[in-house]
Amino acid sequence: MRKKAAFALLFTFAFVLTGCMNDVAELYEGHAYDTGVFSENYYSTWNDSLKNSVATVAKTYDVTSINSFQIDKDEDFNQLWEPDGYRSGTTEPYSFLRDTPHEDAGYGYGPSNNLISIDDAFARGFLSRLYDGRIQCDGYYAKSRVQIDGAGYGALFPKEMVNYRYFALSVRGADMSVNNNFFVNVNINLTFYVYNHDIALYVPYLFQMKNLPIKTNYNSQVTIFGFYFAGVMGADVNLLKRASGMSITFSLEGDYEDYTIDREDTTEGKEHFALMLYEVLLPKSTWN
Amino acid sequence: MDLKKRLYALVDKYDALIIFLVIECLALTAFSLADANIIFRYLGFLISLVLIPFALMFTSKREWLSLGLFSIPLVIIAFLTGFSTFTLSMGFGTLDNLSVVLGTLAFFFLGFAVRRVRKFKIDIALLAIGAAMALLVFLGLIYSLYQYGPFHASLYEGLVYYYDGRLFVVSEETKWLLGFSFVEISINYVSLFGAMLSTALTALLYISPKTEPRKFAIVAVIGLIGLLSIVLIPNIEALILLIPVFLFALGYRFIRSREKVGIVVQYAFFALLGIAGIALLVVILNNAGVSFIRNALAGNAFLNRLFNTNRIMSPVNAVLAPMFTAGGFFGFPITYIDGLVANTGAFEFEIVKEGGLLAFLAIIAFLLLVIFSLARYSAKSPDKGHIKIVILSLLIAVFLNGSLLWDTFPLIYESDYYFSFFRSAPYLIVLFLIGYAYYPLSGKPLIEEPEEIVLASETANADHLANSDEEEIKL
Repeated sequence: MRKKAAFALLFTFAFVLTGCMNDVAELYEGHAYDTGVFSENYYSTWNDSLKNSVATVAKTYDVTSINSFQIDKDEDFNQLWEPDGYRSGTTEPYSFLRDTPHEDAGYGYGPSNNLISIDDAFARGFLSRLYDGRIQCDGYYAKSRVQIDGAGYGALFPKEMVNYRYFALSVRGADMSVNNNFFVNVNINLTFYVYNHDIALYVPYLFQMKNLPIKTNYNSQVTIFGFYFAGVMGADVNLLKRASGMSITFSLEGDYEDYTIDREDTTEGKEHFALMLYEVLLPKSTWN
Repeated sequence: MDLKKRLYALVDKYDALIIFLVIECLALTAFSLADANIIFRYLGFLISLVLIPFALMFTSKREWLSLGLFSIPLVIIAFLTGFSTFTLSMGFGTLDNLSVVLGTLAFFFLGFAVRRVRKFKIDIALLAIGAAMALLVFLGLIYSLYQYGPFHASLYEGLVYYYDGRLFVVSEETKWLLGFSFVEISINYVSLFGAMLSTALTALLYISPKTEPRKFAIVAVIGLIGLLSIVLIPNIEALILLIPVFLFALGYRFIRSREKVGIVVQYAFFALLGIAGIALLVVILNNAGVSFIRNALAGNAFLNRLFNTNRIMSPVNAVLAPMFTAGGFFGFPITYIDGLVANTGAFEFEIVKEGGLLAFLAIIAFLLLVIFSLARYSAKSPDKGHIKIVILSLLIAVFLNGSLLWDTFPLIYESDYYFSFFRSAPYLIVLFLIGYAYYPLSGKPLIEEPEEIVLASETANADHLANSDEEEIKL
């Protein structure tokens, strides 16, 4: 009996001492990335594995206006393949503006298709802002956006992607000027990483989303850009199975001499331009 | 008389079963199994019905009268926390609301009546409550240590993390088994349970580890789980609130000349009561809009700071002021959002939201009656020292935690989910103990009159008891 009690005690201590401590794994001082000072709020974190253990790009795909979609309002959801743009079981398109997580599920596009609602493993961490279904700035401004410079960010997913249908990114542009309501053309490089156990490296698959007209200082309005994997990758579509990481970088397309997209650039007269990411969506994906 | 004999025989036959049911009900409530307090309230009500014959047989008329007067505020509390503008607008549901009324009265009555069952031992009931609650707290503690590590509230003080796109302060939360899953909950909520368990340690002042090693070990484990659940977070405020509890226990155990000290304590208590009463009256009149009080407070910088603009009084005023309006008289409707979200941290003021002015006055009256009853219980009851010290310490601990650290919105991720103190498991346990420790404000309970105990224990004397005792209720 005493041995059993001692074993139970030992097991308990072992459990505690080897605790995962998940809940304190990613902590920040105060309101991280929400200081109200533009230059302090860049999120530029790259997972070490995506910096140091990456193979050369396996394949590059061009995402063009032909094989992609761009959504600014409810009617634009009809660009999606059926029945993706419609509320479940109806012919009513999703609401672009209704994006209160949970409450607007089944009605708003973001709340109905976000990654957290697909798998709650996405709920933890700063990047949960990109997975929560808030696709725009509606007063939750600082609570939902992730501000990046050209070098972007790279993160591992909490699980591996098993099935996937299409990708969507809710985004807007911002600079520190007083100018309002204009577009900046941007090339977004989206990379998915699939871990190859044989070479112990992450193999990147690059999607170049070129010349996207980004609403900038546009009353905080966003645009959803996206593409169907089958539409862009064709027969290669299965290559992304077990993808476990993703990165986003960007560059400016065109003549923007007065802009810099390097957060460290202190050149006088240069205006800092940043992308404000609101949501990364992989609707109808499954994860393992 | 046949009926009476038959009743005695019935009572003798089924008392063990009734005791088992009572203890089972208390243990399930203390463990908050499946977070199904509604079921435990109804269960308590059903068991209390069974206990009615016991109460009728072993309670004198004078006691019934005293109990009736004592219970008036509790009846008001029960009805107004069950059915009010607040509960109706929150949509709790009629069955749930009815269970609050019945459960509140039933758990108090359970404590009162079960003491009349001869074979009932409060030691066992306290151990069952302690063990069940300790298991609940232990599970939360282990999972919390697993997820945060020890001392996370200090080590990561002020640090935040993100969940579901939202920001949370890690040092304000811990893990808790709610229903069948773990949730993130405020450390103050958990510390209430920890404080209740910690009071078991006070019993060790009476239990000898040499002569009663088993009891000593069980009580120590229960108490330590409670204490560790506070220390390992750590919740400094809850730890500070344990100091007066343990000081009281030490004083209760070791001060020899109790009568002399008792008089001093009595004077000090009445002095404190007077000051608190005047302060409360000023606060109430201020919120009732009595102009000369309001102007006097607002016109003096110190008084204004004391009664209006400090961080304790601001939420209290936000709650008290609406109770004088027609809409808030019987609890707040959902439109009284400022009053509803004001975090007073005190169940005495939270009841205003739930039941309005009458409930507020009733809880104040009930608290006073309980204090007087407990003082008599402490001085007069033949219960063993370790029983009395645990009951008194536990009630003091709940009073302090409930008055200063009660968190109405303890769920971290569902911060709009209202937790009512008057629908909680600790409240039911406390009511049971108040009922158990209930002592008439004059005279002794019938069960503690030596001759009555003898009479009650011997069926043969039943007739004599029924014929001779004028005070016993006629069946």
